[in-house]
Amino acid sequence: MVAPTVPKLGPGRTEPGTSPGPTYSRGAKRPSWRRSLRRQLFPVFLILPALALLGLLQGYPIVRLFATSFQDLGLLQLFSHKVVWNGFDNYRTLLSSGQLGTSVAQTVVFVVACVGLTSAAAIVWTWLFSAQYGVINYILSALGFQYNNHDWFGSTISAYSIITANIVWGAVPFVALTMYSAFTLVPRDLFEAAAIDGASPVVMFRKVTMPIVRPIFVLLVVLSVIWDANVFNQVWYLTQGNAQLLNVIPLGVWQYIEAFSSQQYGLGAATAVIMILLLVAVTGYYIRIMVRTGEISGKAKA
Amino acid sequence: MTDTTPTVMAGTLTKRYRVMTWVWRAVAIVFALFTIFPVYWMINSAFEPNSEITSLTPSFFPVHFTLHNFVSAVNQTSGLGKAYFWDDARNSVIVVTSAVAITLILGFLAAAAISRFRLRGAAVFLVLILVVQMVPGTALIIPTFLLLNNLHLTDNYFGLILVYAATTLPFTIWALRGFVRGVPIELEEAGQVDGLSRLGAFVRILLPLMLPGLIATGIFAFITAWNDFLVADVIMQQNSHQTLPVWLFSFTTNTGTNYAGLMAGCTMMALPVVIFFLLVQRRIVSGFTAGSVKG
Repeated sequence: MVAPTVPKLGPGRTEPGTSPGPTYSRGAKRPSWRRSLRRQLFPVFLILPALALLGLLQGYPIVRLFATSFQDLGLLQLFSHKVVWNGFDNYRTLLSSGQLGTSVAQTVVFVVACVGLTSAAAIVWTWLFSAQYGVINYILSALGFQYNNHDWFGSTISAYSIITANIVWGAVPFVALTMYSAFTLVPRDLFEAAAIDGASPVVMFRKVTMPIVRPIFVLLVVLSVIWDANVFNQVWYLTQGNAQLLNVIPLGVWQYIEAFSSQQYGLGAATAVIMILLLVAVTGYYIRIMVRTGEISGKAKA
Repeated sequence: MTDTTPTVMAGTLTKRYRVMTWVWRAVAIVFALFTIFPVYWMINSAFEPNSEITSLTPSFFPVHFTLHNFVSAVNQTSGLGKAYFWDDARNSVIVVTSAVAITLILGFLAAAAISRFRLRGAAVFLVLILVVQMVPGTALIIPTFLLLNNLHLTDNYFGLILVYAATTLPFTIWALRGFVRGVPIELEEAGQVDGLSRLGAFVRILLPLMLPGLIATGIFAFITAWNDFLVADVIMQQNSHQTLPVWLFSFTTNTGTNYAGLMAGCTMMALPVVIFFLLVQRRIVSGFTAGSVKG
């Protein structure tokens, strides 16, 4: 955090306050303000293209979505380019209809089920097959098979089945591979030390592995909550056109029905905003953990 | 030392562990079957005549093996007077590969800026792009369409490419940031001592070292864009401008769904991705491990 950008290259590095004016080594030129400005602007130039694209195609539509949620926007207004502000009417309509509560409840149940299933299955899975300290390798070698440090992700067939799972199941393999790479972060000497101290595999997992992989795990939880809450396709295909199923649809799908089928774009936008606020509330706790543990910070810790 | 280790392990082995091996194996097998079955079923159905697919007693193997479904899928016109498979396949490839290229380039530069410099507001930026993910994709369709319409970018490759690049960019930046951190900064500094510029060090040293990470991240971006239906359906209007996921919907008409053709179509759509996976499979796996190693 404290290291300046290129500490070794800066000409004339001095301890601050040791001399009245900076002393420069032989032949080194005084860095002009123009050059230091350029150095400061360099990272800005690097991030600018990404910022521009995101601002245009994510930022602007989101701002517009928020604005729309305070408008009475139907097909008529859309094509006549008439802007009708109606304050909190959309939100009032939503909150007074019983559907919101049902949809929120369904979303929560759905997300909990999905997140629980995907991350639990994936963690168990990668943990089982992890090369160095995976239970499978451990037991197989203990049984006399040569599976010490066997890399399940190294051979075509076992890796292929894992990658096939990736295509079929959107979420599980993503979480699994990310967790797998997180597990490789754990230095093996810690396990050796723990083994000498007589720790059981379960204790090792809880006391050695978990503290190290926690930041990545938290990020995965946040992303899973977000992605699963916004899941659309699967639900849409299954419930499409079936009014009977209205009480099992999550918010993301209900929002779509409102906006497109009933052409109440303002109401649809308000639903989306409520959904975003709920997600921010739910994930805010985890995001704060990430900020506190330094997982979200500009420069990497040395 | 090496001979004693197995003995120690065998000594600690109890009967409970032996039983657990078989339990874990059974779990792994069930898990694998559960995972692979839908793919198997898709391929199985693609090679069966329609009569067999819709029969009440499903056959688990294409007894009457046929390629007819593929031929009819490629040639099916769905009442539009022209078969659009090749058009739409070409569109998919052009749009998705361009979008992935853009998102990787911009994502790499942004990730380098965030993790190699002290950039004011970087933390806010990272939280913001995470929050952006919370917006339901369906909610942004209308504002995005109106925006592209104003820019005259609807029904246009470039518009769709930009949308895909923008939707995959937040995740790409988050993932690549981890991979940049995995490369020790000393390597770039060494390159700069040898006369490279800062940007030169990024391109000549950092970029090759995190290639596995770029591939791994690129594949996730690829899958996201390759499978998108909603954006393509709304933004591209002419049939000859559509992508493959939209084309798949032409198998469902008023008279019902042509499942045999649909399964053949799905197989053809998944095939390029699977082949691509097989080609770069080794790199993905090493990419995920390499990205995690901190310098």
